Amino acid sequence: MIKKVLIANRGEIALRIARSCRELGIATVAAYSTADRDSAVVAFADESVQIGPGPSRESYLNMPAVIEAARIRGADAIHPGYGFLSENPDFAEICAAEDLTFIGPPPDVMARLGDKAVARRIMAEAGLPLLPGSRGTADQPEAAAVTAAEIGYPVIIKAAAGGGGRGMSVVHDPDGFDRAYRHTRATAQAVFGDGRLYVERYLASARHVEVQVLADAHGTAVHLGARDCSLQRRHQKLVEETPAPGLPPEIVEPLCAAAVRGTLASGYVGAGTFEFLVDPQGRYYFMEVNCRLQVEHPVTEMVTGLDLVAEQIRIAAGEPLGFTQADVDARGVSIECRINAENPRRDFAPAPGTLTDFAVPAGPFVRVDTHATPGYRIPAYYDSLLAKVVVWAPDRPRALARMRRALDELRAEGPGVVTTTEFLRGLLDHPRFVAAEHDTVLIENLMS
Amino acid sequence: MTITTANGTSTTPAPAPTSPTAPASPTAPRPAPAGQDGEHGQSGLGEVLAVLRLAAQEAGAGGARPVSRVRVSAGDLAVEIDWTTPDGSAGPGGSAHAPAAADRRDVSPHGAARPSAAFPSAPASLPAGPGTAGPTGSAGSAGSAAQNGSDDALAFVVPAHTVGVFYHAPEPGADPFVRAGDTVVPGQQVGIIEAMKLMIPVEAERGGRVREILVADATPVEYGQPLLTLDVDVPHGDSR
Repeated sequence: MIKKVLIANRGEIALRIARSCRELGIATVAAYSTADRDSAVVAFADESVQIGPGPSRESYLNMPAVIEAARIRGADAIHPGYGFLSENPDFAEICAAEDLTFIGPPPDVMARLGDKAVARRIMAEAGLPLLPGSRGTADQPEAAAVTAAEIGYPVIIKAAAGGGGRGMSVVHDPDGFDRAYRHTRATAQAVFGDGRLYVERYLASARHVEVQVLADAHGTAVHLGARDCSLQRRHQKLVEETPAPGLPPEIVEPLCAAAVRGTLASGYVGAGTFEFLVDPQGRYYFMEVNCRLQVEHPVTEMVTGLDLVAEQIRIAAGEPLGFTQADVDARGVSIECRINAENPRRDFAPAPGTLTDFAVPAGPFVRVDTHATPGYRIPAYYDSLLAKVVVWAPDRPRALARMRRALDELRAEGPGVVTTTEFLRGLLDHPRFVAAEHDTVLIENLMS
Repeated sequence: MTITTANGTSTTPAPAPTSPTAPASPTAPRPAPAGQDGEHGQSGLGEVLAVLRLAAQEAGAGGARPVSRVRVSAGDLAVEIDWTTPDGSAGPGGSAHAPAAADRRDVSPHGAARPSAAFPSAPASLPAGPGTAGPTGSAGSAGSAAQNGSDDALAFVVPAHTVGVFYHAPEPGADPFVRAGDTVVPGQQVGIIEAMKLMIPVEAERGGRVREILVADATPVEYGQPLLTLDVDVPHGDSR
């Protein structure tokens, strides 16, 4: 049984984790940097430890500091949230060596799935459809160019160790391949410390659909339905919803079943997400597994009534899932809008500052996950996510109406602060979004 | 990083890139605009000065007593503020340091190897002034402060540079690295922090006399928590 959880994260997700812990009767320790000294989770948590200065590499990515913080406060588990150390198999392994329960998948599973080339192979063996691409990594530019020609252009070059939308290049013709390959390899080496790449066909028009799975340590796995996350800007999601609108059951059901098959085949334990691309003909292709809680997990919680953080903690404590696939009863529609401190008119550049005015929407079926408060100073060290506005309604038209109403209620203002609220508000009225015809390039098209 | 003298001088040094001495015109510091308050990890001289001025202004504004002297520098990065006290002497508990855990005041490492990391939190680190800083000073430190109650004696805080367990001595039963009253030279080891089974030496970043060891032996500490204070002698020419 887990008694005290150290939360190795910040912002809205740290607070969201602390809330579930409180409901479960589990004590919390907030690990925070000097830049987050006055943050909401530090005030909310039972205890706190200042682990380092503002820059992440010296605080939230500083493994010895995080482990030591857990030890001096007597925590028996660490929840990594998303980002930071959440998908770091070395960190999970160190936790295990220090007798700390890492709330996430086992380190070896994380290591295999974190390598996108290995993950592709595992999922191919489990019978999941993949886009045509290189077998394993394509480590030589010449050989990779041959593979690209076999696959057929356009292709996308991706970092094997990549994630978060970074380390990818789309190439439209053979002439541009070599340059893109070398550029991507340099980026991957710089950002992920791993220059290995793989190549696969690029779908110019596709929807990004992902499946939430839960698996316990006793061989039981279920899916909690599909989320559409097609509305992205530079591979960063802005709006997510569940169920995936306009996808018929004959597509969604096999896709979800494939995710469960992949979960079991990879030995996955915990909450995870299988990402797929769905082409205009309704064919779906496995992309990658996210070995952590997703930013957009609340939409799944809203339709299933499950608390995913609580499920993660129970699974990490070794408890069996208390329900089966047949018990999962997803109802209605839920949509999430990410309110980022970014300026859409300046190419979504971060626009941090101090929130002199901050008021979140409320009312029926509206959930807001945020760490911000009036007077909150948005640190420039971290990502720009300020709040997640989530609504639920019995159907999509009513969910859209509710989200419009909720965004109209939101106030987040201050000197220098610009948020994505207005941009999202406009998107909610866009005919293609209303008609659920969106794909991963809709926003790029709207912006150009 | 906060330095408080016996007579209520509060100083905020912060590490900075090497830079020429800078003009100081802090008699009427203006608040920096929001969003440029040092959270950004910038280290340009102009920004350094802006932050220092803001820090001086914040510190001055928060004091219950009028500020009698403010010095802003950039070469060695310091903000010094003197408050007059009614009787012209040190207020009660002139040496005022609370553990970071208690008041979450920032105590960024002074002279740390990574200026950009330690620097940005400096402005937030200033206490509101001696009026709010007093009660945590122990009797011992007050006594020490009284003995050294000259303008030139500054209490310099040695903070923890990492989370871990602080030890006074190299091993159980051994003599401590330092005791209150000992004189230390810059770079001298004054303790150990154990983190992940690594023994990380704690060194005095400046020379001086150990005023007080603030954390008991074998006690867990947070990043930035004050471990001990040094009385640092500053030559006259250096501080004016």
